Amino acid sequence: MRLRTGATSVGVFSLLWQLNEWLGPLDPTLVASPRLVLGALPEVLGDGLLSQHGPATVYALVAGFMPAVAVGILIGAVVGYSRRLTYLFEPLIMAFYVTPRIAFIPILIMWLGIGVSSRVAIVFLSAVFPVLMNSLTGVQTVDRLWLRSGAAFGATRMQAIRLVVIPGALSSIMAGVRLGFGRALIGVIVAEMYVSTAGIGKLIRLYQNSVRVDALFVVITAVTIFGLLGISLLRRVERRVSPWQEGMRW
Amino acid sequence: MSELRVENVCLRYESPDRESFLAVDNVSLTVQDGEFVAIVGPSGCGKSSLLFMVNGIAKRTSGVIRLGSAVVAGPSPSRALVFQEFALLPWRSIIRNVEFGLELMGVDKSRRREVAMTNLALVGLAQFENHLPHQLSGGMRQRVGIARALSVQPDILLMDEPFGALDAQTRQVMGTELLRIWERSRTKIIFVTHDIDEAIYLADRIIIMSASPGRIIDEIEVNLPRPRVGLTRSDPRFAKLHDRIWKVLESEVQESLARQFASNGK
Ligand SMILES: Nc1ncnc2c1ncn2[C@@H]1O[C@H](COP(=O)(O)OP(=O)(O)OP(=O)(O)O)[C@@H](O)[C@H]1O
Ligand SMILES: [Mg+2]
Repeated sequence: MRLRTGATSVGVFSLLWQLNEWLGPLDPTLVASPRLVLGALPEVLGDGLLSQHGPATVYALVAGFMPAVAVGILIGAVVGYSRRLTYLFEPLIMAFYVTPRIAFIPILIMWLGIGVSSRVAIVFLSAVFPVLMNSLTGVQTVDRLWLRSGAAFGATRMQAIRLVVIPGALSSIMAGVRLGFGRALIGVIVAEMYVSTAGIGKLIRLYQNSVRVDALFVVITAVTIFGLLGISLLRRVERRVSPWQEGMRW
Repeated sequence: MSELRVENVCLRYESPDRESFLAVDNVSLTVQDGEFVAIVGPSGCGKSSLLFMVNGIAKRTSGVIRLGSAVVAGPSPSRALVFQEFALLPWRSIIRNVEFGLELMGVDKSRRREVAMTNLALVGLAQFENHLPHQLSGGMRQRVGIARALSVQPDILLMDEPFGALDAQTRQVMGTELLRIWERSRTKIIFVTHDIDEAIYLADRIIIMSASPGRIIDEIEVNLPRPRVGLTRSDPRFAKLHDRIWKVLESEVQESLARQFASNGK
């Protein structure tokens, strides 16, 4: 039911897009169409360009995202658990959170060069703050009663954080992780487009230079599919770790 | 061994945006080794607050609490709380909830599983070990909270309306079961309830608290022989005790309610 209903919006969108090529007001060489995009598919895949540039992006993404999740959750939990640390660090965290991290790309490139390390760094920075912010608010809104039950049985601070605070804040943390993943994807591709030797962003620049809207859409769709796979994987992880969450009604 | 002594204890809740609130006013009480003490008092009079101070999660504003010779300085599983609101961890299975206190104490896995299973069976929920709390009824969850507190083998059990979510029959059965556990382990118990019959049926001594701020206004020995199975309200000794407690309590309850409704109107 869910799948069929969901497919409807994608289907209608594709149909309108296709109709534009045949009847439409917009120039097909600029907006392409599903037919043209499918036509470009063998070329983009056949050139091996996607399989050449894809892994570099995935590598930077994974290498930056994993530590961002770990660091974001931990710092968020430790800071959010203590009133004093919250007062101390919240303004700083907030400032980083609202600053677009892709604005740091030039600086990171000056520091780390145009190689993979600057891209890993931008992925890390992009993802860590959404995770941290959500971990922080999640921890701050953990049910008092759960904390009390830990405290009443003599939980130490680290026990409380590990056994009560983080599990109790998990749905909020996972929302942050999903948000962070989206930001990381933006970060890595923008970094690759800015100046880079490899990656999907680099590929996008190549097709831009030859004005290949159809091929660009193939690349963009590939990124979209990758992003959707990532999100659904994260959702699955979330279901696994917090089966008790009844918060989602459907 | 180690009696509990609460001496001139007050609790004042401080809050940045409201006036501070005196919840417990100069309470003193003693619980002997192996004694079963019940506390009754109007809603909001500070019964939970008092138990929280004995456990240590609430910091008393003044006074001293001693267990044996040690002064209570913070929470400890040796003064185990059964929460009025159960306070289970919803992401943990029932058995892992029961194990929780033991886990915090560093008891190894197989041992704590064993102890937890025994206590879960005691409250009649052995077959629910792998359920999650939200899959249990309120009364069942409450019994999980009791099993969790029993598992740490406390010196004193602090039970905050532990049968509040149970129906009358289950209450009766659980009361009898609790007496069995108590007689076997000879742990001290402070048992908060709003049910006078239950207090009489279970306790050696009943402490009556005033409307807020909670003070102790009377203490009544329940000198009925044990076991009290089969004892009913029609028993003249039972009825006499009930009347006596209700006489003290009635005006406090009325005052408490009157005050709460009055402040409603403001
Ligand atoms: N954290 C808190 N901050 C401020 N006031 C509080 C706090 N906790 C409780 N109080 C107040 O202290 C008083 C006593 O509360 P407490 O929960 O101890 O009452 P109680 O006797 O257990 O009531 P009940 O029988 O309804 O459970 C109440 O008037 C309540 O409003
Ligand atoms: Mg209470």
